[in-house]
Amino acid sequence: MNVTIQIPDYLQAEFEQRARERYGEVGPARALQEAIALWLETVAERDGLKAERALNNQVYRWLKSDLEREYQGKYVVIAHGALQGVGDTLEQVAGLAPEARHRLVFRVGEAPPHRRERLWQMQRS
Amino acid sequence: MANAEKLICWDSQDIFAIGVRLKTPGGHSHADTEEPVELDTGYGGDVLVPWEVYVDLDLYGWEYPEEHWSVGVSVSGEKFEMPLSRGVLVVPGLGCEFDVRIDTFEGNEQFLIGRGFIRRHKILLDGPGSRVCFFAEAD
Repeated sequence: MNVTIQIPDYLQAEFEQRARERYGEVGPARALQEAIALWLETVAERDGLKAERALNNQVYRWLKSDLEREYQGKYVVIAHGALQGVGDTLEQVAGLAPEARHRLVFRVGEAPPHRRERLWQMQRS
Repeated sequence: MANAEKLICWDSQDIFAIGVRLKTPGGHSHADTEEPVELDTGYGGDVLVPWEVYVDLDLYGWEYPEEHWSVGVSVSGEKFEMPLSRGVLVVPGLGCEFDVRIDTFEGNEQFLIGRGFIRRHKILLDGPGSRVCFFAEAD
C-alpha cells in the first residue's frame, strides 16, 4: 500500500534521523510499520478493557439489590463478569482476580458523592 | 488530653502545592519520590490525576461502579464521564497515608488535590510566607 501523509517538518526530520540511526536506509518505513502495529495493539487493548468494564458494570447492576440485602458494609470485587468474592476489609479482597484488566472494588452501601465538575481550565485532547 | 499538632510546610512560590506520592491500595506507586501537587478548591473531589497516571497505575483494577462516577463539564459545555477509583495518597513529609478517591477523564493532564481531601484536613495557604502548611497530629 502506498500512502502519502503530511507531517510537520521538525517531526519528520527527527523521525527520519532516528529511524535511520536504528534501522539504516529502510528505517523510516520500518519504524512507521512498527508505529502502526503498536497503535493497533493499543486500540485493541483499550477496546478490550472497555468491554470488560462494561461487562463488570452490567453484572454490578444485576447483583446490586442482592449485594445490598446480603452484604451491606462488606467489600466486594467484581471481575471477569462475575462476583469474585466478599470480605470484611479491603485487604481481604484486594488480591482477588489480580490478572483481570478491569475490576470493580467497592464497599456495599458506600456512595461517593456524585459531582458535576466544571473543569474550566482543563484541556481535553 | 487533646493531641498536639505539628506543622509541616512546603515552599510555594506560585501555585499552592504539597509534596505527595500516589499509590494503589495494592501498593503500586506512581513515582518513587514525592512531587508537588496543586491544591485546587475549585475541584470538588479528593484527587484528580492525569489520564496517563490512571493508566500507568492500572487504576482500572480499583474502580467504583459507573453509577458513582462524576460528570465533567468543559468550558464549551461538553459533558464527559470521570472514572473513579480508590487509591492512597502518601505524604512523605508527614509520614502519613490517606485513603482517597481518584478521578480522571480521557485526555486530562492535570494533577490536583481538591476540596474532598482539603475538607478532611487542616491546611494553611500562607501567601505572604510563600508556603503551604499541613497541620498534623503529633505522635
